[in-house]
Amino acid sequence: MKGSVLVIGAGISGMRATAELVQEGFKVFLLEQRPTIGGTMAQLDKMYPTNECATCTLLPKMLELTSNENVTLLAFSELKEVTGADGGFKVRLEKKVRYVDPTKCNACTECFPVCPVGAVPMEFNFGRGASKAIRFWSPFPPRKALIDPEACTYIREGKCGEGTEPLCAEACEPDAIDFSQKPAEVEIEVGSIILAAGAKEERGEPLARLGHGRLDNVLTSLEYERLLSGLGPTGGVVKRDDETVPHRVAWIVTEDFDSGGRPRSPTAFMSATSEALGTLERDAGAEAIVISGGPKLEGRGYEAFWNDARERGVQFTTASAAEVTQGPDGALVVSCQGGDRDEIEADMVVLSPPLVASKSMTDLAERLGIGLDDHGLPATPDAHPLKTTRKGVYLCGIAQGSKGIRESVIDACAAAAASAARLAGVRGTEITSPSPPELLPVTADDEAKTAVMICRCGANIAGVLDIQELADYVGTLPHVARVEITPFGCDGVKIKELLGSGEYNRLLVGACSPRTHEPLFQMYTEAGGLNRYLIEIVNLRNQCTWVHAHDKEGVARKARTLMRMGAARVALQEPLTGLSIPVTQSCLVIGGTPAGIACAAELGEMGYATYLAIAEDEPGAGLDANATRLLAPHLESMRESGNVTVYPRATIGQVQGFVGNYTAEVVTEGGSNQVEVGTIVIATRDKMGRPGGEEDYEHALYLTRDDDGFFVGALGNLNPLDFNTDGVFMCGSARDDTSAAWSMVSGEAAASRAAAIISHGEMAESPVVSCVVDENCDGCAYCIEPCPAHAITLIEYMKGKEIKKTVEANEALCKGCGSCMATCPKEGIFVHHFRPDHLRAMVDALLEVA
Amino acid sequence: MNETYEPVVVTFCCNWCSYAGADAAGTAKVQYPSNVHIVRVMCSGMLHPNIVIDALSKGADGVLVCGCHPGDCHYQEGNLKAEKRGEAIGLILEDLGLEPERFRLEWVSASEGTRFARIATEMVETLRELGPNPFRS
Repeated sequence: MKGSVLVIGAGISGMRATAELVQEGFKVFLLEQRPTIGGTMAQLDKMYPTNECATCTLLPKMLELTSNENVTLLAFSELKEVTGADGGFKVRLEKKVRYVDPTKCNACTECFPVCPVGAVPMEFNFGRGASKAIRFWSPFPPRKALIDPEACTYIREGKCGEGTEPLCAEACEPDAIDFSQKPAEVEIEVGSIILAAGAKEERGEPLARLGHGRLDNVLTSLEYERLLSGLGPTGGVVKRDDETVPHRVAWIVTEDFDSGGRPRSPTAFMSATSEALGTLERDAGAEAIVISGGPKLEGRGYEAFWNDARERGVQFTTASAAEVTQGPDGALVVSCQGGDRDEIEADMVVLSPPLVASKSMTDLAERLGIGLDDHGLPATPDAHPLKTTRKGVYLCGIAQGSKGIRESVIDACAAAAASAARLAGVRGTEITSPSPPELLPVTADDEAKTAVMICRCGANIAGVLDIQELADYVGTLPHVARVEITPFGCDGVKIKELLGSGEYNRLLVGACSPRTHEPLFQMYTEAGGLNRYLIEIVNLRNQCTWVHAHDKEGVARKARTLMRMGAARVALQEPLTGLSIPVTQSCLVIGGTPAGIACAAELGEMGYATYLAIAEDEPGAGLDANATRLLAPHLESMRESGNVTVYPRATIGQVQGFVGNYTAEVVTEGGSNQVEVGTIVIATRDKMGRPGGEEDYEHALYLTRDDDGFFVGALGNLNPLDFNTDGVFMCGSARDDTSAAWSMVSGEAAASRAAAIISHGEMAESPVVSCVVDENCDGCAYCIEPCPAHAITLIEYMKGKEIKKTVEANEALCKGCGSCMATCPKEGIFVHHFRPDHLRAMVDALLEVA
Repeated sequence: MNETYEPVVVTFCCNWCSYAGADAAGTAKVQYPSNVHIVRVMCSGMLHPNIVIDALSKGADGVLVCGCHPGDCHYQEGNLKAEKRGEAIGLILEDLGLEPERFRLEWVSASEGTRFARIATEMVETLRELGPNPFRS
């Protein structure tokens, strides 16, 4: 058996399956046929129902994967053949020709301006926007140039501009251009395969009938997303073909008007709603109308999102038929039947088709040796939605069926769990652990020498601020030793360059939000040899240029002030090292739902001690025939693995502890059992607490429910199973109403989430916790009661003949909320990294006159 | 009143809800006055009243503290503790002879970008009417 997995497709599904597997101790080969990763999600502007920016959410994940030493990214490559069997597949791949050696290309872009062939349409933008013949395929990683052989005159005719020598090769300093490149064959061996490929907008007759490709300014949903995107061909300003800005945009949910009679997809209506809302966010005076067969709101939060869109001015109309015509003046007219509007005039029409698996699925299935069903999707003969006809080959995302991002993420985690369970015996055999970086020794007494990086963030920051002027100002601030400007700081190149010299002991970054990018920038900082708490990120984008875009003077003043505040704070920051806390490598699963059974069985198969607390008499009791059939393999595996302890007719008593170290009381008729677990999975919406129990576990774990009784999870489309409380996850009826099959899949996915933590014997705890200042603390104990983590205790000791008092903070329990710090009358306790002097220094810097 | 007076607002936002809410205002490009400057804290309940009083006695025209809505606090009830401290801050302002409007405590969730921008705008408008902090040197 091989402890590695091949993931086919590097969209959100494949990326997530990869991320889960590496956390669980497996090496991953991530295959992508396009030259860059991110798939369809990378082409989106925003996501429903959270209205999060797709790029902001996805880019950090892309960068984490491309810098992970246990992920081998095979971009611009194709699957050729798969031989062998479950546990030991031999896979033949082919790397396509890019005419640039990616190991040499450093993305300097010096070759772009010299290339004489312009106006090459960008496939990533569906032909909109133009590039040179040598270019990046998209704004996303891997940032390596490639040459379009159809456009390059040197490849076609042996000519480049006026001469016969390629100008790009001449301009390329690292000598990366290689016109003799041939397709390269790669052979790998893997234990299992996850198929995560193929999301495409359904094109063809229904779109053509509504004018796509025939009428001007009739676009598809994804084409329109590229116009909304700040990284798109128009920089985020929606423009018609004649460069004018449309004020009346109409969406048609196309599947509602073709005669296919198929079930409606869960994505088309929501995509249209999201794009209409995005249009109004840019231009509040615009008219945005969605024409459909009626709302399709199949997902948690979808209805609220639709209501919000309506409140914010998006119009919705239902019809039974729609047709698009173009008047002589170029204006488009949508004629509707069977609804409240007969004719809708529009400057632009957006057709929203379902997202489906691409046509190349047939070819891919053949090479993979898996069967297809009547719809051209991989067949799933065992009734398990993610298991193909070939053992050891799993599905996720749109390869399984049309679905949104959140559902794709759940699939991806479940597919990862299936691989991890099957390959449990060889877990950890093919991965390498990063050696701890050698860090520059920095003490509180060393004078701060701050390096500053200001990110242009494309035009997001630099389009509003005069970056050079800001850089010049920052250069005059105390402790600032060097200031550099970078186009995109998130690629890590500039940080590496700045810190590589070893001259600077602080790093100040003016860029996007620390909320999204702090972990990434901290990773780069540490890779550059500086402790990760010696960096400060100033939010120049979300909290400055994006919100004061029309106030030229104000935005410049505020940017200077924010940088001054950041510089003052970073100079005071100290290197911090997190505690390594032991992890109990086990899990408590609460609830005998299909999700709970699947989750426990999967964890048991992975080899972890698992406790399943259920209200029923035995696992599987109370399930209908369909669910019983679906879950039969899990029930059998649960018995076989011997790792799952079932507590029937159980209630949950007191729960204490924190991620990696929970103690839970499971009460059965036989008495009370204390279980020690690293993680807890809530798999039911039913209350399982002890009737009349004083301590409710939901309260102890800080879990909350919405008005419908479902648990409220962590924010964001990419965290569908996580709670804000670390180490606790939800699945099945705990999170939504769904079929037995999808409840089961979410349980398997939760098993992956739990395994990501308990596959390691220890985990690093944040050092942002309380610290007692001995000389200031007099043991008044005001801080003890406010502490929600019960982390503070009063200590009495003898000093000479006197009884002295002080407090002690348990770092492992402390969550770093700082209630103690805000209560203390004598500055006797503070939270690292948010010390009172940090906050005061920022306020002082703010009040200084620029 | 000073025509060129630009109020300076110190804003403390909790990491989990309000800071993300302010980010969301950015993502949605909802505009608000540039007088508002945000300091990120882990929880609104982390902020010692002395920090707020110091800022006002050093000449900040206003201090805005934003936390999670009741029930949403990442640390259970840090926001409610901030609310209690807010009452104490109000009393101290009275002693200092400062208008109560110079301090404001608000709940802003991670998705309430528009709400954050509205509160920020209102705060600046209020401070424009009040005029500069008398402690401003």
